[in-house]
Amino acid sequence: MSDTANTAPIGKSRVSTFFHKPWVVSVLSSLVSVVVGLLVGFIVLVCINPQAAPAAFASMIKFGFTDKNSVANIFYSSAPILMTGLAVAFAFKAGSFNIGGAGQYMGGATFAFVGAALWKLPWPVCILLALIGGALVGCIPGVLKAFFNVNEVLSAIMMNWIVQGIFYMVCQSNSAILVTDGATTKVSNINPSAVLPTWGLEGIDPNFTIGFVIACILAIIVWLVLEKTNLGFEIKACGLNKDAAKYAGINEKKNIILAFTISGALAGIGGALYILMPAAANSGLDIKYSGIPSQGFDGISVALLANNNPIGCIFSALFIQYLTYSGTGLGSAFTHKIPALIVGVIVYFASFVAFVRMMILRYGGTPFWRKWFKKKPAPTGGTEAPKAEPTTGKEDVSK
Amino acid sequence: MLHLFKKKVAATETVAADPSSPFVVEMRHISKSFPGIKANDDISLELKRGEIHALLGENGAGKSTLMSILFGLYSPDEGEIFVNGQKANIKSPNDATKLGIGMVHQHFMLIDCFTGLENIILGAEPVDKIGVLHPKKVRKQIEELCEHYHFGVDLDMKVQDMPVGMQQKVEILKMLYRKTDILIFDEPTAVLTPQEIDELMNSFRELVKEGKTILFISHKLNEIMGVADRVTVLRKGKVVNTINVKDTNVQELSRMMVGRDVQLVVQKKPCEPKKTILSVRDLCVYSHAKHKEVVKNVSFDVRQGEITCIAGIEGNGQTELIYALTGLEKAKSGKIYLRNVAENGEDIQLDHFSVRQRNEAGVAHIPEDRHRYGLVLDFDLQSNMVLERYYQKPFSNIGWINRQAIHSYSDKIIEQYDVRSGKGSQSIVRDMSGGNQQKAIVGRELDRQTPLLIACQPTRGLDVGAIEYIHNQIVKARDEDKGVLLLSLELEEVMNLSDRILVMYEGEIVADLNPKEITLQELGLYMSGAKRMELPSLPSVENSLVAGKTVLDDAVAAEKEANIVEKKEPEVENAKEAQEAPEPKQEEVKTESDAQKEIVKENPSKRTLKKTPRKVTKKGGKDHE
Amino acid sequence: MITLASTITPSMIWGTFLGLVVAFAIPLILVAYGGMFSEHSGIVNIALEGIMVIGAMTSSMISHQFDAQVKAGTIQPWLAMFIAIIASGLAGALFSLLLSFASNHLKADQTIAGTAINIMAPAIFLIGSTAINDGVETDWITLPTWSTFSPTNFGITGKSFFRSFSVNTICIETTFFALVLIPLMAFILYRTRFGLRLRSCGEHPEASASLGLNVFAYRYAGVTISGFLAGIGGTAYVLASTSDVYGDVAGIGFLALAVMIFGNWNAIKIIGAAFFFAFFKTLGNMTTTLGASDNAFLKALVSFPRAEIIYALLPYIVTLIVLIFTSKHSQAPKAEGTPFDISRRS
Repeated sequence: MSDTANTAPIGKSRVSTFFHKPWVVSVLSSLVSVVVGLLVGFIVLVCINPQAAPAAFASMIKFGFTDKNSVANIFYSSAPILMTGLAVAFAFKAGSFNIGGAGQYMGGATFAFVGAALWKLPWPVCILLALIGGALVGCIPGVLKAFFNVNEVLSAIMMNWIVQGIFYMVCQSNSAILVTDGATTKVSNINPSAVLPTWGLEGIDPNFTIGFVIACILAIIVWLVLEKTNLGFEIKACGLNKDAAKYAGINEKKNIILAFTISGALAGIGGALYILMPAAANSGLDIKYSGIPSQGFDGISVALLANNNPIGCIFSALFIQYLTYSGTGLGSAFTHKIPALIVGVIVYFASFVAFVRMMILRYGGTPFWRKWFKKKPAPTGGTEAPKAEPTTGKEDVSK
Repeated sequence: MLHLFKKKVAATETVAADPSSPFVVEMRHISKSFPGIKANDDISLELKRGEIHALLGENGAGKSTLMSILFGLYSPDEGEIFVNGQKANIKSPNDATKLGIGMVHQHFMLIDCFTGLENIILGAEPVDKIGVLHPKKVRKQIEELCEHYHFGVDLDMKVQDMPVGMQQKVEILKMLYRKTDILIFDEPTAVLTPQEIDELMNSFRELVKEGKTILFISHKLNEIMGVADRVTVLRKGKVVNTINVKDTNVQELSRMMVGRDVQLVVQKKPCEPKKTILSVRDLCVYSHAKHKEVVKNVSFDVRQGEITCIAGIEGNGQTELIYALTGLEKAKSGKIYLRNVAENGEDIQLDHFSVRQRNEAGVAHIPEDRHRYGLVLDFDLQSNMVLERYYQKPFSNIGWINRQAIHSYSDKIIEQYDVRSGKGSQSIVRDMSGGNQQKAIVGRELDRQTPLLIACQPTRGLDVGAIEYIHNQIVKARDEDKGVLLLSLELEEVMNLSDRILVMYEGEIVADLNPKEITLQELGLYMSGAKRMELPSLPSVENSLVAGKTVLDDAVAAEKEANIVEKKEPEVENAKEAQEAPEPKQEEVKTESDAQKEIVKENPSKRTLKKTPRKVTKKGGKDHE
Repeated sequence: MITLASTITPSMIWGTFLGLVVAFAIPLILVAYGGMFSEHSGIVNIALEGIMVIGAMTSSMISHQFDAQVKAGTIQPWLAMFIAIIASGLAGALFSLLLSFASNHLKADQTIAGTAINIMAPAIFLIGSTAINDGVETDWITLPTWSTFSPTNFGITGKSFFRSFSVNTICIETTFFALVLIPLMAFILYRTRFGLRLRSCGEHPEASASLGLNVFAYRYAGVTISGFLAGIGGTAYVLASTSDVYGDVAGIGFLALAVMIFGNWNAIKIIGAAFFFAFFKTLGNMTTTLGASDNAFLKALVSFPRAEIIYALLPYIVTLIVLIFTSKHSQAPKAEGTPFDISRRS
């Protein structure tokens, strides 16, 4: 708790003031994790095959931009993880970690699929069904946390597996959907009206549906809700300070449940956007029930890289999709899953983002080399003092 | 690296009697500052071998800081410490332990799920060569210690299941097991029952007989007079005096503790209390953290146009009382009524209301803990300004927040209350200074113009100018016929700002005072439990209810008592008799306290003081243990 | 999964069933113990899943490397496996340093750091599996046939209960590790000075610090032990399940956390909880076999529709129900998840 509002050291240049702006620090900390992630990826490549590494790395970076099809692919394939990213980001704003994105995603996909293949509904209704499906799956960890104090990470993971099995059962029990064991029918065959339309985008790429557009619109809506509505105010207050939210009269239990439900709904829509995509609709769905769709966990990476900002999620979803897609550009000497490692490193850095921020605030604006010749300036805000200063009424240190 | 896991910390030097130095511990010219406050200012303290030395002072006097320095938790800015005549460099609790100094903190350093024995041996365990525990080796030794000092400690009971007094004894045994000779206690009796306090005082005497030295921090004058040999009084970071307990008395100690200077003067008209705005009856609050009832059957009224202050040393239940009133914590039992300021409106019973309902009913709350309850530190200032009201017009409309309206409202309050911040309404509150954060909260709550204002430590952390402004605002609210319930730990504020003082001690209201008629020293006596007032029972709210009238109307209530049936709950025989023979008998039932009540109703500002300490008439009649 | 010959007696089925229960319970107990040690020291470790993958990868890669030597007779199979298993434990311990370092010194959010490890692990596995297969991208590593033993090595012949029971228990080398490690770890936690001090760091680190204990050191120790146990647990799991090791342990790491909570962070109760879950999981795995058997009881257990899926899901559903009942009064280490700040004095 410092006495000045501006944390920049007094008398420093405009450059360092720039580095102290909150949004700059946010973006910078994300950039730092990306750069380190890419660096680690490169080092791993070198360890595997030093000769081929630099060329492979370069081609990986370029792969996403090779032709307009690949660029379009990245755009429309990122829609599902943008949705799961929004789901995780929203839950984080509310102070909870929604690791159940995959289960909620599957729940939404199941509902959308049933609506499309069984009940022959058009795609807007299917998306709505997916919203409901995801919300149902999502509200369970919320309810369990609010009323029974069950750890939401564990309950969400259990739900991931349970929904998996339920989806399998649903498909298995209805021969109209199931063609062979392990694959479903093609949505495009049964019900073309359920497939997401392309509305002119097919000029860029035949698979470019409006899914991405829908997801972007939803990202903006989520941002609006968080910034401009009562609900958003309550969600953020609960996430930042439960006690002050209580003081403000906000109902904590209602908030947790609502947060998880909305989060689940968003992830569920992600499931619909995937399953109603022409690519998936044309080839049927693989429902081998021993695997959990990775999009759920990609959502975590998307949200953390975007620092839980809904609009930022759009960009981080594109980036992560680009990274995943680029794996194929690595060539034959390397496994195509190196990008997953890079993403893992990025998330690792996100876990101590506070530390990274502190480093940026401390060293930002002054070129590193000057440090070696000048004395290090005293840390701003007095890092020693705040720990001793009374922070609550009770712990009156000055007794 | 393995050495990290093998450390054993105990007193390595026995504190042998050193004839050259009569003092076992000397602290010379200790000074310690924290940002904005000088906690210890050139304090010198000498501890004689084998004495029980008390450290007395009110909140903020610097006692805890001084002891923390001795125990190695802080290092002093200036000054030196000598142990047994030798200069000591105490940089950490380990150093202190090696010198034979041990400390029992106010919040115990115990592992709740371990047994008593495990807690005692932790850090200095009896092990064989490979590190396997052999508690039996030292069990006998510890049991002997227990017997010797008459500690009834069940070594195999988990600490979380132990009564607080036993937990404290485990802390003491920890020190004795490590051959500590200088034992420091920080407010040891704060969490104990009266019986446990007696046991502790006896333990002190036993320990001293064995040659140990005891230093304890306290604000309870009776206990200091009862067990200490000498006492050092601190005030505002400086030593007032060190004196033999034999040569002094509670009055003198109280005077030394609170001082004579009254620096604060609040300009205000004489108080003209009107109708009761808040009635609390038999409120009981149980604290899970402290394993005991912290508010015991508290009943009081707050009136419009009057500033009622709950005074007392911190930790006597005031905080929990306020939390129960505002809804932040649940009360165990009791009733809370708020007058409905609409004409002829029904009084509102608050005790089952949620926090939001109480806010809407007309309760404003300046919280004691501003970081925990008062503000969302990572929100901007304007959002915090509407923390309780964001969903109401004009700040929000059908769920949509109107930033413009919030911004201008926030600007208005910032202007009015001189809240300073880097970016005005859009500053992040975390970056503001404590004083300005407090001003923001005070401005927010006062501006709500609610019929009842609960203000806890409203001027904490503020400079003199801001304090004066806030006080004037509170008086203005009072003059506008609001009811103000003040909770303050600053005696000057208590004496000058309030119109009426209710002193809380150990969860009960022990005095109802007019600040104009008592002295600071007298107040100190009540606050430290040395003196106690017999207070009249307040009328049970339901029984004063007459259809159509509000229950909180004093005049009506007084009329009731004077004339008709007053059914008192407890005396069952009386009730039975009342059923058999109604009116005439009732007149005779009037007791002395009824008569006293009539006097009280006529002269609300005068209370007859019955100087019979320790006798407490139960208020409201319910018989509690 | 074990394929059975045509003449299967009920006692053989029982043998297989109980053997599989034990085989499944062992990784659960080992990994749950890992979680227990970590949380008792104060650090929440949800990276157990990822560490299991790393452990499985290490042991399968190393046994793969020993393949030639074993076939040539220069090294005994059990010794090769022994080295592989120890290596998997060490790899897990090393990998867990990511979590302990970030938690102790960078004040990281432990759940997110753990999730990061879970994301990284499968990718690292793929690097390993591709390398093993001479650069051809493959998702799996094949375990050599000698990695599990045959009952005849122990002198058990003929078709009997003991034979089918032993196939999944003593024929898997990690079982012996478990028989030693499980009591040893429990003993260390409750009967040694180290265990006592470790537990204090997760309950009330300020108290421990005031007694002169180095809280960071104990937290490093707790997480490293959990990494070691999870690594071996990963090996135990893959040895019991398949001969093709994929970079996926089907959520066992998280199931182990549920076992830990169900067992209330207590070493003995965890064993019971693990067997409880193993029982249901095995029912799910063996549905077809049980259905084809001649024993009426066993047949009845699996003769309702969707039995296979329901039994497969049963551990997760039961976990959820159990969590509902046990979370209110959990005896979780009080200070877990909060970074220890040495400057925060009470």
